[in-house]
Amino acid sequence: MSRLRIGIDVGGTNTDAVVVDEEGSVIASTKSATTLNPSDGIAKALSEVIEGLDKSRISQAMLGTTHPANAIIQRKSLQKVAVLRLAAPSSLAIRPGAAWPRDLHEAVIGPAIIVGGGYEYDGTEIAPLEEKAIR
Amino acid sequence: MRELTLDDLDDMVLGATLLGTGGGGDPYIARLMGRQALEDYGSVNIAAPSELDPDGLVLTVAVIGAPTVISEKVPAGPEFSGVVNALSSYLGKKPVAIMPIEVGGMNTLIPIAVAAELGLPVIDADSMRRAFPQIEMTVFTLAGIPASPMSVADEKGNVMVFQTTTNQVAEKLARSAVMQLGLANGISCYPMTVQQIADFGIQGSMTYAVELGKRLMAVQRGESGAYDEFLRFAEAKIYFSGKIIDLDRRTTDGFAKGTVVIEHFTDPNRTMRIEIQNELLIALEDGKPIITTPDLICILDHENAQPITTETLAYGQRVDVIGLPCAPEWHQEGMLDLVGPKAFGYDIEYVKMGGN
Repeated sequence: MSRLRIGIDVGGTNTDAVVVDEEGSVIASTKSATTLNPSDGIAKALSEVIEGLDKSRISQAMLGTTHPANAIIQRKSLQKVAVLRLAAPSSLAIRPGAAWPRDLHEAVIGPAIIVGGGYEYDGTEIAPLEEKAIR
Repeated sequence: MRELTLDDLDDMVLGATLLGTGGGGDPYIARLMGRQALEDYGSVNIAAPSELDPDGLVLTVAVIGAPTVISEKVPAGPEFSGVVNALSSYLGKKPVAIMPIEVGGMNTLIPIAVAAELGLPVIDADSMRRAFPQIEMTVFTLAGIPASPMSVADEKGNVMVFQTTTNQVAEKLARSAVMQLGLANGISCYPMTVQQIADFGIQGSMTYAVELGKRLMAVQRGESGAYDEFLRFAEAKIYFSGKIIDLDRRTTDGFAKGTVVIEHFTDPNRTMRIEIQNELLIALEDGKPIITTPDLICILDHENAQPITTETLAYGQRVDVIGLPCAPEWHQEGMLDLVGPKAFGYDIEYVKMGGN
């Protein structure tokens, strides 16, 4: 029995999912409207496309989507992330996200700290990992 | 004095990348530092020596190490103000200005950040007006000015001040120190008076980098006549246009060494070979030297006129090779022994650019 691969494409309008075998023949496919929360549409498309297939044959699943790029371009539906750089006392001259556009920086970068840690080019420690600061 | 603005900074970065002649470290990181410093501390003034007290002390500041390490391990800041303060207290005198040692590559921008932090002007001069890999390769060495006392510091608080007998020894000592300290450190050397800089320095380097960058920027925007104006200003010439057909690049003895071969666009029988040691040092057409160090060899992307650094050269790139004459201050006794082809181990005679 040849192994199967799943490919999912979440576009702005539709979410497509296909299952192909090792020869590249399409075994199953589905198309549905992209949902407001893309995860719901992905889960739905995935369960539809693998229905009736022997799940043990599935070896890979791949997801491609324009959503992150769209979210960044439109500055919409972005969530804040924390940035932890293990390098202090090195690297303090440039803050995380220093080259980012200001509005994108405000939308994405949450708490950002540079804490002790990291290594020199020759493998010596820059500083011990500052676990307390991370907690 | 003229105020350096954020707009000037972008022109300066482009000019500095060109003057890096393929090396000198990618100024991107230094540009971010410069930008952040201008935002945090306000503007920086560029001053001609004639605008400052002739007896005033000027201290240089630069990053020393390996460009490959520096681009991964971002500087901290205190290593740069640290070397200036260390040398200032060793000499028992406060500086009236900061000077770049190397207007070419990232060391063009580091002094801007430090000057902004210390509230000092940057003097409009340097000692190379291009990039060179070693401390002694300056017009100051030709003038007999010692590189020491000099200071080296890291970001952790390790600071040392060296007193050396020759500028070649200064290079050796500084190099061994930075190898122990992470290969991305601050250095201040060649402490001098404003008068000495007026007498022996390369004049107007910072302004030159801005003006050069401004004109190259116009070329990149595709403005009509911009290329001619850029070449006229730089007294430069396009020596070769073609495609990279061979590239050999390896890191040995702490240097990026290699050779790049370019085949002419219209005549495949014509090839240009360029020898690299961090910087592009020798350009030969059919074995005949055409452009030689200390004159500047720059490889520009044929489509968008962006200078290509040695790390980013790649097979198949379509490029223009342009040559710029080195700063006129280089042309004095001892130049070829210090920075000519033989100083880098090439058995090649220097070919003076410009014909006279």
